[in-house]
Amino acid sequence: MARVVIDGKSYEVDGRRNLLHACLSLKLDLPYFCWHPAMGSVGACRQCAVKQFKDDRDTAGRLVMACMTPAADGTRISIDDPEAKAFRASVIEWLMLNHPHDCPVCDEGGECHLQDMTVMTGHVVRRNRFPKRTYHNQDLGPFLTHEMNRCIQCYRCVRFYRDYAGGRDFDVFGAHDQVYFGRAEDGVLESEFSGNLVEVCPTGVFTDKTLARHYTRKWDLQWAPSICAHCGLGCNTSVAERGGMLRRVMNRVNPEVNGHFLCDRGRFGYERAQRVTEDPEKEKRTPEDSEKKGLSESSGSSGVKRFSEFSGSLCGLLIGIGSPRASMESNFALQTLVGKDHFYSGLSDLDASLVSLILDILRNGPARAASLQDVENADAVFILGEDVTNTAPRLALSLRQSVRQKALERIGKGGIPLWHDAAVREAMQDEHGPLFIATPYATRLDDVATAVWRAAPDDLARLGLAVAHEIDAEAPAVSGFRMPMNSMADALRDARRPIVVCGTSCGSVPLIQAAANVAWALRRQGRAADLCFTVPECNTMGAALLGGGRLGAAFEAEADTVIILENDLYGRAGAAQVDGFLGRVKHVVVLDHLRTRTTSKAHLVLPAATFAESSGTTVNNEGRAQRFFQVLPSREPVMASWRWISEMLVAAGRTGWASLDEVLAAMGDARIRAAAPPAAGQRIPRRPPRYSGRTAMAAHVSVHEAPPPPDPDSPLAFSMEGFSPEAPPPLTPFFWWPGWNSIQAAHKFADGPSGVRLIEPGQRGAFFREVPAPFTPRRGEWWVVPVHHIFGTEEQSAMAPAIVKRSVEPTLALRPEDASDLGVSTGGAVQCMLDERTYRFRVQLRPELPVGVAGLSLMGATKGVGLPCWMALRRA
Amino acid sequence: MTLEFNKQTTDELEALCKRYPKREAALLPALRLLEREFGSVSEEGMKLVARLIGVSPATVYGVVTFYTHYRRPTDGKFMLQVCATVPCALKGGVSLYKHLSGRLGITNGQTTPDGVVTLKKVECLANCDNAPCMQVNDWYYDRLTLPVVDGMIESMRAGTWKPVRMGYNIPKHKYEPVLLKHVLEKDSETIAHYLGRGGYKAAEKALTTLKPADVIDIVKKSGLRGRGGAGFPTGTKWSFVPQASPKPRYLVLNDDESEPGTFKDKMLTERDPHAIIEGAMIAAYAIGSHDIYWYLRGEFPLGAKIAQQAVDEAYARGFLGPNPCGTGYRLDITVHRGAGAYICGEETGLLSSLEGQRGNPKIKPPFPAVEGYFRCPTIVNNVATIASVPLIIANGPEWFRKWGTEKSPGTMIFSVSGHVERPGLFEAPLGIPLRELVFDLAGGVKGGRKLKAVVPGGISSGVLTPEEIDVKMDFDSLAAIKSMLGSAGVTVLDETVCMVDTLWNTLRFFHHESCGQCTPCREGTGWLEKILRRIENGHGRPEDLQLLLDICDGMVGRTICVLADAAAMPTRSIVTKFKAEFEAHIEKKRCPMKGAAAPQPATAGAH
Repeated sequence: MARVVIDGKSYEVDGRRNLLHACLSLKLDLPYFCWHPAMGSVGACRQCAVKQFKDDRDTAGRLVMACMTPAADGTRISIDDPEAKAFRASVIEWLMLNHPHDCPVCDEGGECHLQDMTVMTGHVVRRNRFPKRTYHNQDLGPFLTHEMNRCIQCYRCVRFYRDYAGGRDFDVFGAHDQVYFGRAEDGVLESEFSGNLVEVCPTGVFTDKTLARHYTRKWDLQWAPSICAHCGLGCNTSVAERGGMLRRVMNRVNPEVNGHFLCDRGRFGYERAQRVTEDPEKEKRTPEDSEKKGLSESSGSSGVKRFSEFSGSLCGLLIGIGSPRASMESNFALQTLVGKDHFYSGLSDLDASLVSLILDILRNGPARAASLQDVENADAVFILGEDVTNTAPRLALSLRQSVRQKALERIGKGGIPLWHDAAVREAMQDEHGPLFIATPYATRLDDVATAVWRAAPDDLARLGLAVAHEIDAEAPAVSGFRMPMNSMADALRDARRPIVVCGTSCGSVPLIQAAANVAWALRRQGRAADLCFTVPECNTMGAALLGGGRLGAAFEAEADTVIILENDLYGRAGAAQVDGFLGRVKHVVVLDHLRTRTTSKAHLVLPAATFAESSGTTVNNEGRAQRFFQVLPSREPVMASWRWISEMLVAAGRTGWASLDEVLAAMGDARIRAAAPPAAGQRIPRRPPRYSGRTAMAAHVSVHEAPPPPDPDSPLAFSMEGFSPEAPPPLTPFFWWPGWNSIQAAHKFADGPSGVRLIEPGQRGAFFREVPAPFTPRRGEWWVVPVHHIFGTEEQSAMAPAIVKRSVEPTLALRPEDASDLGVSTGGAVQCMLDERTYRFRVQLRPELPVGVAGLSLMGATKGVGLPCWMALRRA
Repeated sequence: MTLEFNKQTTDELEALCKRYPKREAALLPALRLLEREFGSVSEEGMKLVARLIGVSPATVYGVVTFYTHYRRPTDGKFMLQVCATVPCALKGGVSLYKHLSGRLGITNGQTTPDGVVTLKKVECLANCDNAPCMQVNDWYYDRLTLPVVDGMIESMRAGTWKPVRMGYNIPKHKYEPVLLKHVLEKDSETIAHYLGRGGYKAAEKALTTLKPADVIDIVKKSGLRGRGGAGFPTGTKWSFVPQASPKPRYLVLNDDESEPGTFKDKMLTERDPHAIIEGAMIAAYAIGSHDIYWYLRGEFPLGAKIAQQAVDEAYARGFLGPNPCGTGYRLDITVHRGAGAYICGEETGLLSSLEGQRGNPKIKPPFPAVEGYFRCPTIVNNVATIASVPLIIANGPEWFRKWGTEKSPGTMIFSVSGHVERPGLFEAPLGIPLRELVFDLAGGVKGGRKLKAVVPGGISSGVLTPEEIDVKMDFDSLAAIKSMLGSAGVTVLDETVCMVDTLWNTLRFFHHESCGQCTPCREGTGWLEKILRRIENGHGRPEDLQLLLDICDGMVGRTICVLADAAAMPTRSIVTKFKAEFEAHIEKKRCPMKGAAAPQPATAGAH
């Protein structure tokens, strides 16, 4: 800690920060542009000037840039100094020379950092009388709108896109007051993190193109804290709606998880849910009975009544199939309804075995489950099998930061403050790593890898086991294995916080065991090694924690009625098997918000609430329980799945639950309950204080303001009333502060982590001892591994319009040699028999694939084929 | 269409890449190869270079668009670059440009429909004594007249144009030249000539008989100060190189001469390159460096050719390479051409450029001497400074102190341009009165007209009025009157000059040359320029004068490098010293030196 004097008052601040950061942490207002909490300082915009004094006798002082000055003990500055104030106002005046006065038609208006800073500095009178410069805007693809005329040249976009996220197709062009930020030519931004430019840009150069389609000012949006539903990482988001329509997703800072950034799937995948929630009728969100018996239109209770008829007449067995994309509460509710013995987790059998192995490793072994923050701080990383950019995208961004850690440590020792981004990047040059990537095919992180190795999953597992053995001789040796990457074990051993990244996407048990062995070997050597396992869906980990039978067993159960919770079974098992099961069961009841092949086979479909219309808890890959809250009051007859099930319980004469807190109480896990405060005490408004049209919104129906819909499930209110400033992080619906209308207001809020970790390591020391045999290619057959796609693989986002535009056509990746043996080339097609069906795939050539291995895009129909598996391919 | 280099160029590029610590540092020279082989830098060519250098096409595009000197596919066969910066403007450079523009029917940056000629109005070509001047492709043309350029255009159109190499001229005067002693001698640029006048003896002496610390000590004792503009003591700078650092050290020769009104480095480079090489050998030895980069501004293709020939000769004679003077102390010099950016004369901007990037200056500290080129200890010295070193080593520090003042010893090459009888390079002791330089050495104001103002140290310096020209031309005396010696580019303005126009021209230069990094400079220079244009064209308002000064207040000392200061200094001095002239413009709604007011542009005053 350091003691600094600001305008005569003494404050205690974190001495490792710069003065700007320190001032903001004290909730003092000091304008800035080029600084960013995650990207540090470069001192270019000159906006945060303050007067610094040598000592208390110095009255003249000199102007310094707060972002470039350490908050060292004894520092004396003035923010209010007239010269500093005048200079800050003149910086705004300069920035405004060319900034168009188009706020009324700018999507950033009302949440614009430039507007806020302009007001803050007090620059009001324009002395400039010249025409403003204009630029060509680029078409950057389906996510972002580009409006270069608004640019104030803070360079944050290029620093984020190129330096932080490793993007190569975006840069700064030109010179003097004609600098241009964009691509060398029009075209889709390649980075999977491009959407962050919306928040990184302090003004309206980069705005959310999906929001523009259904635009609403930030102040008119109703917000709720949410958890991204589009992969297993559980990034914290703020989702927003107005007039019953979901409008946008923004980042919500959770320092231990996503920090300040999201991936594009997480940011733009919401439009599927938007379509679903926007027009319940078009989306057929009414209880649907294939026999059309006794079901009156769009009535929730009729659905339950119909269900009661089924279950009332039912003497046979009732089973439930849960879901890794439904909340803990809904899964638990179903488990309660059908009984533990008749509840099946809803994961594919392979995923179930992989995830239960992961759980076992994380619970009983000595290595911790790493958070994204841990990954970011890791000083050595070994990736085994995962193409993280496509399976858990935000993790890739954290890994890109981890490769800087070793160098940062050296640089920090050399006396350069780590917030000084310009100096740090200079000092670092291109030093990076160690990061070792061993995967079946090339990944988007290879450019920062120390070494890469391509092999079949079994051989990757052998590599992992061999590395573990080299680190600790106690771990089993791999006979006959030639280490492909030199000094890997040494590099991991030299690290203080090494992390091993692995996951379920290769579908390999030995691979996961190998990852555990490496981390455990490092632990035995006294390194604080962590494990980061990716899992496919937003609550895969929660579903695994809750337990339940295997899906294969469900298919064999002699059930009369099955309740399927938010799950498309065709993505979990072969079509023939699912067809057989659904055809055999008398009553198939599906609760879902998506239309799937499973819902089309159901006798009764009950419309379940999306993440936007319900509250609940998911558990991310780290084992962190986090609560998401509804932003849209769900419209009759749509209900959260657990509510449907609660009504079924009541209908069956059992006790249901009236609120989420009651479900949580019934679950009985205090830690899950603690993920967010209960619905008690003073209400926190979902609507910002600037919300407009409150009494006019429904004036075409009635001039009387209707009471806000009740929300028994959270402390949040669907109104402007309540008390928000001190909301704890899990309950912060949006970042807004007087004078800080943009997302840069985040620094005014508590910056603690949120969520509760459910999994902590144990003491077990024994290594996995089974060593798989080397992979042996077969003639005429290929071991086909799933190829994940950030845009397209994940079910809930795959149909979002902007995501669809970025999706690729599913392909089968082959080595060029193999393709020519088959007589096909790129664009040609191969076919294969799977599950008694013939599939046809377009061929993509990937020379890096190991011999005998092929890759198949995991999207849509290919999800149920049970990858990885052997496939006999022939030319189609 | 995917481009590929031919075998020879590919080999050349590979050899080039090996001369830099990192491949991407060869980006600028690689673009020159592209230009050479394909005639221009095209989009496809940029992709080729990106692939070969290992950076993204976007980065290459970012670099190409930062600089002004690369030929684009739309450019004509002949690139006419007309200098329109102050020293040339005083001699009709702007009129020359306007004439060409009218005759060719094209404006700045455009190409004639027949694809023969591209016309560009460019900033100072460092040829101010031969104003007005123009560069045609790689060739400079001096003291142009309208009939001469008309003839050139004709021959270009007829396909009979042949380049003519201009001669050299230095006015004689009472002081014995030291650095410029041999530059007019025939073949002075050859190693034979240099050896014939005792060349490379000083290097041999330093490398074989002196310790590096001794060399630094001698240079410190001589009191040599940097000739590039800042006037920092050279020996002291050298001593900042951390002795314990295990990293490689670099010496960079700053030959990016682009301060308008200065043209000394071009002369030394083209006429006495071996003095620079010898000085570089000694300096590199003193700081423990083996790798020397000679950064020439992009507009000096002839200089680059001569520098390369001289370096090749020095290698052939064994002064460079693995065993200079039999000492085994490896020395390598790489000649590196910039691409047209004034800011690359600033040492950290130069290093960015030498690293293959946009020439953005870097925040100091750390200073380059500690962490410079690719984060290694680097000394950046002006070539005129370096050329002084062999003489100091050969003759001793006391010899050097024969000239100049206690704090500014030695001779200085004053570049005198503008309205004097004899413009040119005048090497004279530091500390001679400006009056003597202008009225005695340079023959006084041309045509016996009255003196209006003198720019004493390149257009970054505050101007002096006739009452102030008794000032001594040394670093400290000029600083004392809020001006500076800078690079000693003296431009003389007579009574016919409009100061508003001159300041507008000056700001046009700084506006164009701002790198675009810091707000005050990026926005301030442009705003100042526009206001000055407005006043000159008769649309100024009384409050504009205060506005000009207010903008300067925000610029001085508040940016990463000093370009903002360099723009604000002349603005402040001219606005305050020639206030009445500005007021007259505003009151009369026209330039009193010219005719009626220019028509109000349609967009002026629009929001």
